[in-house]
Amino acid sequence: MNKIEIRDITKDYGHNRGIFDLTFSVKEGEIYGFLGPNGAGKTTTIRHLLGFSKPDKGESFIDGLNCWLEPSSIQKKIGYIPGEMALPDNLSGAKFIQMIAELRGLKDMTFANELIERFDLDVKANLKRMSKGTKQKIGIVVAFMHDPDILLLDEPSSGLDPLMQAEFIKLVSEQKQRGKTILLSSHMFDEVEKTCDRVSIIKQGRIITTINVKDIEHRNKKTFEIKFKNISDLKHFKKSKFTLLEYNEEKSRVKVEVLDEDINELLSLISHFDIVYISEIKYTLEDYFMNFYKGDTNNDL
Amino acid sequence: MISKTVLKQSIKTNYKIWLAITIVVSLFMVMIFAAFNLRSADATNDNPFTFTILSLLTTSFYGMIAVILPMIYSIFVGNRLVAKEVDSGIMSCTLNTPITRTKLILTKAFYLVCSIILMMVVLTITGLIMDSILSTDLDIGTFLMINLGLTIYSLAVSGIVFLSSSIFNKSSSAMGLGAGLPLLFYVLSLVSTLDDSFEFLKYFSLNTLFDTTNIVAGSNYVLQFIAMFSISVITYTASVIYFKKKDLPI
Repeated sequence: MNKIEIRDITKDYGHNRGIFDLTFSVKEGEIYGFLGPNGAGKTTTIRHLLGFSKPDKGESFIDGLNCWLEPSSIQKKIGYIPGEMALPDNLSGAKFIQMIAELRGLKDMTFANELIERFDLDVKANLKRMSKGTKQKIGIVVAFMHDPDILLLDEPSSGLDPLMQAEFIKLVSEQKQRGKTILLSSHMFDEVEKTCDRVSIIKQGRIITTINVKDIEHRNKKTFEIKFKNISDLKHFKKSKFTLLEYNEEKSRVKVEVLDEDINELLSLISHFDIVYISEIKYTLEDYFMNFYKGDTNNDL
Repeated sequence: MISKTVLKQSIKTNYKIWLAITIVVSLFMVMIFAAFNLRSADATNDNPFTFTILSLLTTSFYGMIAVILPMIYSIFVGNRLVAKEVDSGIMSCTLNTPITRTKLILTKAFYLVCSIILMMVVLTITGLIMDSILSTDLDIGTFLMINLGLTIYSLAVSGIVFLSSSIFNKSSSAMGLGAGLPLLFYVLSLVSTLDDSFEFLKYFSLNTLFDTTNIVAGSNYVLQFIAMFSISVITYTASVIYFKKKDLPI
C-alpha cells in the first residue's frame, strides 16, 4: 500500500521555479530519498504533503487522505523535520517541546526524553541562543517523539556534527526496522545511500530519474585500480580486452571496468605481471549521479 | 474552537507590550484628571475655568493618545500574531501538529480582541476611580459611551491590521497596509478639521465614526457604532476565511 502519494502535481512559481507534473509514491515501510540541488523543488513538494500549499494541478495523499483537504488528520500520522528550523525565541527548549506535545495531545514523554538523552541535547537553554545543530536536534525530537508512522525529513541532518549525523542515520534505520515509511530529502549522497531504498533525483521541479539503491550496490560491473611495477606490463595490459576508464603511464596505473563474469580472466591475466597493488573502487550513488549529469552543461549541483 | 496552548503562547509573547501601553494610556488619563482638579481649584471669578472634566477628556485625550496608543498596540501585535510568524516560519511549528488552521487563527483573533477589550476596561475603571477620588462630577453615562465607542473603534482598527496580517506572507507588506491604513485614517481626520475645504476628507476616514462631540451632545451615534462594529466583524471574519485557504510558504 502507498503511504505517500503525489499524483501529477504542478505548482508554478514562475521563472521556472516550482514543481512540474511530479508523480511518485512511497510504499509502507519504504525509505524514499529525494536528491537534488537547492531550489530543485524538494521543499515545495513536502509543503504540499503537509497541506501548506495548494497545488495548481494534481493531488497528494498521505495514508489515503488528501493533503490539502485534511491537513489536520494527516498531521496526526506524520512527523516532520523542516529544512530550515524556525523556532519561537521566547521559550526554552524544554518548554517548546512541552508546547508541541500539548498541541499534539501527547502525554507520554518517555520517547521524547530518550531522544533528548540520545542526542545529548541541553533543553534548558533558550531557543534563541541555540546553535544551528542544537536547533536541529530539537527538530528531531519534536518530529519523532509521538512515534508517527510516516516521517517527512527535509535535510534532517544539516548542522549536525558527524557523530550526531551517524546517530541520526542509526535512528532512521531503527525506524525503518519498525516499519515506518520515510521520505528523506537531502543533497548529501552519503546519507541517502546509507538509509534509502529508492532515490529520485529531482532537478528544476522535475524527477529526472529514480534508482533502486540496491542496484547500485549490486552492479554486475566493478571498477579496479591496478598499479604496475613496470611500464612494459602496463602497455601490455592496455592491449587486453578490458575497458579502461583511466590510463596513466606516468604513475603506471590503470582504472579498469570488469564484468563480474570476467573477473577470473582478469586475475589470471594480471598474475603474469608484477603488480604493486590492486584495489576496488566502490561505485557510489554519487558516481551514478555524476554519470547521469555527464554532458549536461547546465549542471549546477 | 480555541486552543489553550496557542492562547498561552500568544499571551506570553505579547503581555509586555500590552502592559506597557495599558499603563501609559491609563496614566495619561490620570494626568488629565489631576490637571482638571488643579486648574479648577486655581480658577477665580476673574479667571474662570469653563471646562467640564468630560470636555477636557474629549479634547485632550480621546482625540489623540487614546486613539493612537491602542492603534500602535494593534499594529504591532496584529502583525506579530500572524504575518511575522508566517514570514519567519515559526508558524510551521504550530501547524505541524493536529491543530487546524481555523482553530489557530481563531485563537489569535480571540487574543487580540480580548486584549483590546481588557485594555479598555482597565482604562474605563481608571477613569471611574479617578472620578470618585477627586469628585470631578463626571457624567458617567456619557463617559461609558465614549469608552464603548473607543473600544469598537480600536477593534475595527485591529481588524484591519489582523486582516492585512492574515493576507500577506511578508511581515513588511502586512505592516504596509495594516499600519498604513489606520495611520492614514488618523491623518485624514486631522487634516479635515484644518479648513472647511478639507472637510470632505473626513468621509474617507474611519476616525470620523468615533466622534466624541457627537456622543457628548447626545446626538445620534448609534449608527456610527454599528458601522465600526460591522467593520470589525467583517475584517475578522475575512481574516479567518482567507487564512484558512491561503498558500503558506512555511
